[in-house]
Formats: sequence, C-alpha cells, structure tokens
Amino acid sequence: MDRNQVLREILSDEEFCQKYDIKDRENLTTNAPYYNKAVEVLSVIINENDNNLSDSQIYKKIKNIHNIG
Amino acid sequence: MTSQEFKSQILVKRPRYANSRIPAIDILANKGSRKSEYSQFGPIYELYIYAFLLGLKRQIRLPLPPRELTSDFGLEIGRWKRDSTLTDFLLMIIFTKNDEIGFDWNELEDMEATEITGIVFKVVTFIEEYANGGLEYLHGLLDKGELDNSHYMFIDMYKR
Amino acid sequence: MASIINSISFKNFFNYYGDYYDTRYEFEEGVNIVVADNGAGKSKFFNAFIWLFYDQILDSDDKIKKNIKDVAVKIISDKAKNETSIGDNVDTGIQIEYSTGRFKYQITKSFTATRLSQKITDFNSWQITINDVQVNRTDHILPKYTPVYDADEKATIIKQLILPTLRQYSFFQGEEVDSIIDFGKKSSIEEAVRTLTDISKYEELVALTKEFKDKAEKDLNKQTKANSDHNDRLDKAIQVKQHLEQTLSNEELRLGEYEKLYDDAEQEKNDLEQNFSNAEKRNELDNKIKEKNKKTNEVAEEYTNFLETINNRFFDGSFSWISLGFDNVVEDFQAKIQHYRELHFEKKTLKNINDPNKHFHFLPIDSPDTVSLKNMIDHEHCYICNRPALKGSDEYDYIVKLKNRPTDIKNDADYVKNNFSNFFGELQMNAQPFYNKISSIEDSILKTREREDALNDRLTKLKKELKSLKDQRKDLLISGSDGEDSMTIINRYKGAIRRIADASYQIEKLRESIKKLKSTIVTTEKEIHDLRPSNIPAGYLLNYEISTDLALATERAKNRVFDNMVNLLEKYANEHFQSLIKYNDLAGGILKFEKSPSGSILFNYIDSSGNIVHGSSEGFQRMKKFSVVMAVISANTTKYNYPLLADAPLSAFGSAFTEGFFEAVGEVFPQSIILVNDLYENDDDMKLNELGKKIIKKDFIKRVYINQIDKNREQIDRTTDKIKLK
Repeated sequence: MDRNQVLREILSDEEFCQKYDIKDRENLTTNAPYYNKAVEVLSVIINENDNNLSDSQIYKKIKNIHNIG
Repeated sequence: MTSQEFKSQILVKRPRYANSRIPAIDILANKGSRKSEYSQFGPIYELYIYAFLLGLKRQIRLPLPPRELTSDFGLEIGRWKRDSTLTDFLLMIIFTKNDEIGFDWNELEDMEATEITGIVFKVVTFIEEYANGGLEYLHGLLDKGELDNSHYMFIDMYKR
Repeated sequence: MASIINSISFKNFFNYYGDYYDTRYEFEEGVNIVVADNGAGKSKFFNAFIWLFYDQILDSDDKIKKNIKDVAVKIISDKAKNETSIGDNVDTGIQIEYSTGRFKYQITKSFTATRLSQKITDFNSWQITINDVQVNRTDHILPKYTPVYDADEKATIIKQLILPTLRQYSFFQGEEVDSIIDFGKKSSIEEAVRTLTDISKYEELVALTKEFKDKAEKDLNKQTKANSDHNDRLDKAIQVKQHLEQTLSNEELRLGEYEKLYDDAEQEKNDLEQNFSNAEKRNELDNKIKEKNKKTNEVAEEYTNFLETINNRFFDGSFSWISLGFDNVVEDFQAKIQHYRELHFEKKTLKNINDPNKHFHFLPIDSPDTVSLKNMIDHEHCYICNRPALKGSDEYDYIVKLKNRPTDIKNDADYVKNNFSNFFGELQMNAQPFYNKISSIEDSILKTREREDALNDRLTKLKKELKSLKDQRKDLLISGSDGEDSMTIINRYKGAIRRIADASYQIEKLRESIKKLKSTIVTTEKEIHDLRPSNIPAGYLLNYEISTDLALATERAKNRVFDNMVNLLEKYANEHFQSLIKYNDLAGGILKFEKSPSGSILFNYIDSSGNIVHGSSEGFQRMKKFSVVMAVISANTTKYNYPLLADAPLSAFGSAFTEGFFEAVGEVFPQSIILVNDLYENDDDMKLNELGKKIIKKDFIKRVYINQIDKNREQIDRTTDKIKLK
C-alpha cells in the first residue's frame, strides 16, 4: 500500500485543501521537505503507523512538530 | 352301468402322493398363502396334475409306498378345476394309454361291476405313479438346487 | 503470472476406481467443461480440491464438510474396498498438477487403509494412515520432477494455487454462490471491498486521527486551565461540549444497535425469500414424487400380479398351456374312438343279424339329422350324394328307414352290458378347449414373455424417474426446519418486513438527532474557541485545529475510497451482467448498488423505466450474484490470476443464461473448470443434449470431458468412465 497514495487521497478533501492552501497535491510525498505543518503531521501519522509505532509515540512526534510539551 | 356311472366312479377318486413329497409340495404349491422363492402353483391339485403330466412326458413312473405312508389332498378328481373341462382332457389322455394301463375300450362294456372297479383302480394307480415320478423329479432338482429360479420355471421344464 | 491447473488425477477416490493414471483429467487455459450426470463423480471431483486446500471433503449425504480421517472409509472406491482382502492395503488419493509461469508443480494427497475385518463399509473394519503430502516441482525445461521437502514450502505451494482470501470467488459449488454474495449481509460487499482496497489502512488512520484530536483537545484544555485568564464561561462551554459529546456517543451507539436490528431483519427476510422459493420448489417436487411413487407402486403391483398368474395359464382354458406336447393325444383318441365304435356297433349287428337297420350302425345317431332327412324325403332327393331318390325307389326307402331309426334305439340297450359310447364321445367333445389351441401355445408363451418384459421395462423406467426426482429433492439445500409450512414462512416474512420498517424509522430519527448534535457541537466548539484566553501558546491551538481537520478529512477519505470501489464494482458488475444476459430476453436494464438505511449495500436490477425488478427466476438471481463475483475479480487491481472451479447449476440458469455464462467466465478467468450435469443426455451418442452440442462448438471452450457411470452394475462394481470429447 502506497503511503503517498494515502496521503494524496486524504488531502484531496476540498475543504481541507482550501483551508490549508494545498497546491500541487499530485506531487506530494510523505517524505521531507513538507509543504506545510498540516501535511507534515499527516505524513508523520501515515509513516509511523506503517512503521508500527504506538499511538503515544506518534503523538509525541506530532507535539514536537508543534513545539509543544 | 351307464356312461355317467362309469365317469362318476372315476371322478370320485382321490389320488394319493407319498408323504416324502410333502416338502416339495409345500415349496411349489402355495394354497393361496405360503410364498416361496420359487415359482408356484396355487392349489395342490394343480401341482399334482403338472407332476402327473410331466412324469408322463418323461416316462417316469414310480410306484407309491404302502398306503399308510401316503396321503391325499382332500380333493376328488371331479372337483379339479370344476369350472372347466380339464378333467375331460385328462381322461382323454389317460384313455389313450389304455394299453399301458391294461384294458381294452370295448372289453369294458362287457365287464361286471367288480371288474370295472378294478379298472378304475388301475387308472388311479396310473395317475398316482406318474405323478409320483413327476414329483420325485421335481424334488430331486429342488434338493440339488438345480431348480430354475424364474417365473417360467414350470413352463420351461414342460417344454423340454 | 496466472496459475493454470494442468491435470487432476484420482486414485480409488469415490467412484474413480484405479490408479492415478487411470483417471486423469487434463486441462488447458480457457474454459474446460466436465459433464457428469448426478452420481457420476461430479461433486466428488470437487471434493478433490476441498481435500487439497482444507484436508476435508463435503459429505453428500448431509452436506457437511468433514475431516478426511473421519470419513476415510466412505471415500475409498467401493470396488477397491471389495478387492482388498483382510490384512491387505488400499491407497486412496488425489493428485493435482499446476503451473505458474516459472514452475510446474505436482501435489499428491493420499491415505492408506488396511482392511481389518469383514464388513467393508464399517469404519472399524479399516485402519487409516494419512500419508505425508507429496509435492514435486520442475521448471518447464527439465522433464523430471524434483521433490520439495520443506514443510512450509509445501504449504505455500498448495496455498498459492488459489490464494485463501480469493478462494471464495474462485472456487465454489452451486449453492455457495448464494452465500458468497448474500445481499442481506452487510458484510458481503464490504468484505469484497476490503479484499480489493486498502480500506483497512484508512480505518486505522481514522481511528488514529480521531484519537489525536481528542488528545489535542485535552492538551489544549489543560493549557487553558493553567492560564490565568481562564474563566467560568469557558468552563461551562467546555462542559456543555463534553455533555453533548457524551450524548452524541450514546446516540451513535443506539444508531449502531438499530442498524444491526435492521441488518438482522433484512437478513432474515432474504433467508425467508430463499427458503420460500425453496419451499415452493420442495412442494412441487414432493407432489411430483408422490405422483410418481403412486404410479410406480401401481405398475409394480401389476407386474407382481402378472408374474404370479403366469402359472395359471396352464389350467386356464383360454391358454391351456397344460396341453403342450400332447398333440398326438387328439389323433390317438380319434383313432381309438373310431376303432371302438366299429367294434361296438359290430356287437350290435351280431345281436340283430336280421335287423333291417343293420347298415345304419356306421352313422352316429343324429347324423344326418331328422330335419335334413325330412327334407330329403319331401324333395325326393338325396343331398349327400346329390342324386334323386324318387318315391318308391330303394334310395327313398332307405332314407325313410334312417329317419325312423331313432325310435328303435331303445331296443338296443341290451347288446352290451355297459354302453360307454357317450362316455368316450363326451370326453372328446368337452375337452376341445384344451386341445384346440395346442399349436398356438408356443406363441402364447412368447407373448407372455413379451408382456412381462414390457411391464418390467415400464417399471424400470418409472423407478429411474422416481430416483431422479428424489435426487433433485435431496440437492435442495434448506436452511431452517423442513417442517415449516408456507404459512409460517409468510408470517415470519411479514414480521421481518415490519421490523425493517421500524428500524428504518428509528435510524432516520437517530441520524437526524445525531446531525443536530454534531452541528450543535460545532457551534459550541466555536464558542469555546472564542472564549479561550488569547495567550495560549499557538502550538496547542494549531495542534487542535489541524488534528480536528485531519480527523474529518481522513474519515471522508475512507468513505470516498469505499464508495469509489463500490461504484467500480457496480460498473464491472453491470458489464458482466450485460454479457451474461446477452442471449436472454432481459436486456434493457441495469444493476444498481444502493445503500440501505443500515448502510449495507443493496443490489437491484432496474429495468428501462427505472423500476426495481424483484424476485424473478432463480437463474436470474444467480446471474446477478455471478456478476458481482466477477466484478470483484475484475476490480482487482492486478489481473486475476487464478483458476475458477465451479459446479454450475445451469438448470437454474436456463439455456439463455448458460451461453452467456460460459462466455463471460472465459473473459474473466484465465482458466476455468466448470462441472455441470445439465448438458448430459443419456440417450445421445455423444451423451450431450442440444445445449451441450451448441456449447462444445464454441472456440473458447477448450476441453470437454463426459463422466458416466454404469448404472446397471451393482454399487460395488460401479466406476466412473470418462470420455474426452474435445
């Protein structure tokens, strides 16, 4: 299952795209560099879930992205 | 004696069979009730007539054992297939065998009553002995297991 | 690379007697057909694969799958069992060869049975040892096989003939088609979608994002509380929101319950529909069986009676078989009676030497009769020699004396002691019925035999027809008790429909309320947002916002993926359905997938005016389901690479569907092996009926086998013979 495919599918949500100003969706990947924070958070979730990290471990990473405790 | 009286004398007789034939009779005649694995006749007299004629065809004539070792099946000749002229046909056959039985048609007409009685006795003996032969033949096949197990058993045997 | 089955062989397996090379079926790419009458190895053929994949077979008596070891004795060919002496062994097994692009494999599964005692059908009379599965492999270059030893590798090789998740689409017996795509079951289409897409991944993500949203919210609220500008109104709003969410959660639970109720009721309704149609068919067959049984018994009785009366023909005057062989009696008796009469009347003559009547003794008393004599006297003419007998002549006098003769007979009484003339004459006359037809007795016997044969043939035919009906009846799978009558089914059906309506109503109400709750929650959230202190670190707010949006977007994405696949299935299903019904009159409509109130997928046929077509023929129902199965296979992202093994109930399809079926199957599956009995015609040279002959001509049909069984033999001797027609 292609991570990029999942990413693009989720980001193909019109409202989301508009709100987070996502352009050029077809070329987005779950790898850095990331288009914006939203894409980064989603990419982390997709990647680390695939790597079988636990949910708390993934959440920690997300908090790091936002620079919060 | 008239023709009628002469005929009656014959028809009132009850031919006998040897008791040793009873097992075969039980198997081959069903008297309307007993079933067996072989083809059967109904009343015993049918089997008896068949055996008599079979014995005649194959020339198997066997004397009966002493009277106390024999039985009759309670039906006089005159009552055999009463609704038909079967007995007339049987008598036809029997009377063509007068030489073997030992009398002459014309001489009959000059006999005394007691002599007639003797002739009737000979006729009945003739029937009994050929029937005995026929029954023994059937009995033998039965014992050896050589009886055909088909519904055409009797007619096939009769034809040969 | 597609896996193609190259051959299937049997050893002493049910009706397939003999070694593997004796019963070997070879198959090619494309469509292969095995035609077999009932009982001629059709379902047993199928069992080979059930053994291969699951180490079981389907017991045809109770339609339950059982482990090989438990039913081993039943599996062994009767003929082979019979030929095995006590202490000896017999082997039973199946052997399958298949190829992928690279390799060719040979898999053998078997067991050995040792006979212990007399009763060959008794399970305790045999000791069963299951042999190790043998797997051999060759690449296509070398001719010889090399064994595969590793157990895991063996298992993999067996598995990949048809992957387990796809087996249900690739490998089924008639009735199973119904259960694969069970329109009442929500899970059926969803399962298909699951197989075809990565929806499970999306579901994981939906759960995750939702969880993160909750966590983000908690973190945000914690931060808010810690902040000095936090106030009561905010607290209240947060509380309200929590309360709303709790209510929402409860409502969603209730919704789930009603959806389940709906599904259960829908399921029951569908089961009953199936049951009902089966019940009707059952009734129809039962009536036919009753009729046929009655007829058979009548003829059987007639036959038995006939047989018992054969011997009556000896003594029955119409047949008089007893007279057979006594032809000479008639002549002998005639000669004797003639001779007797001569002497008898001679005596009379001697006694009445001067009797003017003496010349008359040669003529019987009443011959010529009185009336004729009177005529001759009156006409003065002798009609016997046709000469005049004029009054006064010797001839005339003679005739007069003849006429007067009877009156004198009483005086003859004493010339013999016993006058037996009548005795003999009567015998001859009375016995006529018994000797008149001696020459035709042989013919009569022949006719009797013919009559018996005719009756016997009729009886045999009726018995065969009865058995065929009973076999059909046995094949009808009934779920639910046999004793349920139509009335009960109808009532249950009505009950189910009522419950569907009730649940539907509740579901709608709940959905409304949930929608309202959700929108209220949104406005509350907005309020909370506005009430929050302004100096909360942006990270928390952003975290919350992004995670909320992601949760929603992921949820929507999941639904989209699901819906897209359903649409794709619908598209393919329609394509297949159209080609399946190509030769049928049903053209003009389309298949439509629809979501039921409970969320399950309904599958309807809409005619050209937009109306849903319900219930139609069973064949039609089967076709719908086959379309969906094939759609699932077509929608597979990679080309479907597995063979189809199907026991196709063509009779349920009807001939119009059958043609379409074979064509469509050929297009979807790289190889298919179809087992049918509906193309079989016993009285035909090729053993095929009209439809069969039509099908065999088609190019895409690569191979056709006919299985037949010698039904005239005893069960113990019965084996299946195969004929390769193409």
